[in-house]
Amino acid sequence: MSRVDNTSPKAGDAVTAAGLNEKFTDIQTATTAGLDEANFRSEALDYTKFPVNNAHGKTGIVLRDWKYANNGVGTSGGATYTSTTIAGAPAELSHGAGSRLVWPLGQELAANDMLRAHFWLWADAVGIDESKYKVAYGNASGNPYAALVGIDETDIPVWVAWLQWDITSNALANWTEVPGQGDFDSNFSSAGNGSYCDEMLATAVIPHGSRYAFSGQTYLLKHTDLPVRRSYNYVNDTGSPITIYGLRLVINGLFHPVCSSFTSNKNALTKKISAPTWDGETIEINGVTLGALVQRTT
Amino acid sequence: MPYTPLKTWADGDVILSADVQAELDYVRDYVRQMPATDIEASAWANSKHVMRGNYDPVQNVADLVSGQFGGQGVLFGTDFSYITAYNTLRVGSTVWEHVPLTSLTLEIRRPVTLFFQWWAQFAGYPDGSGSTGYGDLALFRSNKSLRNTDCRCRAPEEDRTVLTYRENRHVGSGFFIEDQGVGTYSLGLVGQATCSKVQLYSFGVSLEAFAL
Amino acid sequence: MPAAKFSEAQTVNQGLVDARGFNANYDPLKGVLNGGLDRTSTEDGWVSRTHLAPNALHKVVLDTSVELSTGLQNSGTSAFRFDCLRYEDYGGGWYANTSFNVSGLREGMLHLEFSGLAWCNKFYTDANPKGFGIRVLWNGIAVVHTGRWYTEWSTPYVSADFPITGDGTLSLEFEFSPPAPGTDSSTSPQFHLWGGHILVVARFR
Repeated sequence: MSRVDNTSPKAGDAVTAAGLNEKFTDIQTATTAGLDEANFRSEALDYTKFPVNNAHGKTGIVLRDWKYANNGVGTSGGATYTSTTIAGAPAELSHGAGSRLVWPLGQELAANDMLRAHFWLWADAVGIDESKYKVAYGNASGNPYAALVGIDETDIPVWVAWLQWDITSNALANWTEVPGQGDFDSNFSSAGNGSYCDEMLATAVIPHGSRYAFSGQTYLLKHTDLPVRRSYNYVNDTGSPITIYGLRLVINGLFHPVCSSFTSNKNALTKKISAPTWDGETIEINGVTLGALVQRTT
Repeated sequence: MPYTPLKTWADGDVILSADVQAELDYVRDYVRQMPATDIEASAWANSKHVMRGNYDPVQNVADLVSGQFGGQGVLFGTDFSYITAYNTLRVGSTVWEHVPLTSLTLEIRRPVTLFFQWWAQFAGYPDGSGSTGYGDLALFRSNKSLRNTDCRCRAPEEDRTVLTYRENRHVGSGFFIEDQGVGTYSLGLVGQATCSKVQLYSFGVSLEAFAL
Repeated sequence: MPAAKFSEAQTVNQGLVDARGFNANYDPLKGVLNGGLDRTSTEDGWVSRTHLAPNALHKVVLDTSVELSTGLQNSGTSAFRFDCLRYEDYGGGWYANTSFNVSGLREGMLHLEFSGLAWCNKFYTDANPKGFGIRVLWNGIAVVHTGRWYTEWSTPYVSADFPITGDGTLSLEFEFSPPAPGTDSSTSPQFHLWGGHILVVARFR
């Protein structure tokens, strides 16, 4: 307790050296590294009492750091990715250094700190083999836009983009999925490779097409000019600090929804390996933006 | 510097009023410039010790010690905003104009780190032109010319009379992060359209200006 | 020398010490030190994380398990589809999918974000598209209310900022196009929501 507790002298009290000294040493005792809630009034702290940086808000009291990067590609002329039906590592989506987030000295994510990551991309799914889609709903064949939308109404596959991080070193040679995110490469036997739906916290889905209606019939649309945005939030609940050296986006495709005995009757997205096979389709990913904030949660 | 009594009286000393007054005056001056080292280094300061902020109801922004935070938004069916191909100052289809109800203006009094984000459901309405246009959203900072298209969003014209009809009413959404110094600062959305009207029928903009 | 005593007289040099005069100087200073220190008392820039109690400035709540209510995740008609919402279990209207209390709050500004993944059966057999909408409520009041998304696959993202006065309940709701009577199957998959997280950042100071 850092209060100054002494009795005020009254007329007639003896004045002694010790008594007089005590009045002032009491103050010294209370104030020597001891000022706390007993001493400060309500609203005693305004923003001048907090440290201020001359250029930004990363004082570390709430915001610790941020990163932001865009690959500079815009709405066209980006990289093309091809779908497979086999297992394998994903392709990096960030176009090299253009939109990776890198902390050369590492950024600490202390216990209970939060990583807030956001990403955006611009997609054109133009490489569609229409023969893989079934004719349905009475559409005429021979029409270049004829559909191609299956009796199996879930026949529109999807690309997936997700976040990886490197928490090993600034060599950035050990990328792993962020917590709560699967690698879309688990083997589900006859259902193909993929991930469960409950491990997609950092995943964005990019449709490889969409159905639309025209003149009473249903068609498949090649998805172009499609912006997609996703956020990912992670609070470090491990009890120990994590050091982040990099964040990046990766892409893989094509995936279909599944829920069967092969996926333990859990919802999943897998690379369907039964006919028709979905390899050889392409998507162009143009602009990619990735940003992250590291902040306190308390 | 920390407080240390100026004088320690000993038994038998004459107690001079000047000494007593000097000691009192010293304490008075001390409590006006107490050093940080005299403050206990433990987690004692809670919300009540920090000054309350102000709330601007017009912009829905709270000005707090830790920064400025708030945003604007429209619920579906209650209001809307728009991008149009026709503006009185328009000189070409590539002209970007402010999108109403999506801007915030801040008076920044100490350097901050800004995190601005937006989302919008928007659709292009058919204008009977026979071609499929679109409407785009992008971010402006301070003024229209400081436009940022890193998270550009597009809504196509929903024209059911043409074979390229899209009906892709997906949400457009984007974000931006930067450090910003002292001054008056605006941010929000700008739009350009090649079809007659693009309507934003539910949307939100959000600002987090971290000062700490 | 005889012991001096506090007197009523004014303090004069080499005179007796006046108790009232001393107290009049000393007690206010003691009062300032005992709970009266304010923003003018200390030097600037000293507050650090060390001095701040938890949640002095803000509070964060993160729910990373937002998905279609378990009771609505039911089997469809084929292995290559999600177990998800069917018209056998849902006939239209707003459905309160996720709800949780946020406590330990005080007056301030609340920021929330929802980001997730969704699939919907845009066309079953009807030419009119089906879609879903999202609503977020704080203490029963809508702070986000969207129109419908009509794409099969989407990554919906919404955010909102609003003033608060204290604790509250946050609720995420969805609505999906109702069935076309006599046309839509009651057992085919129609809508799924998964991979979602709701971030709440409540700022007080």
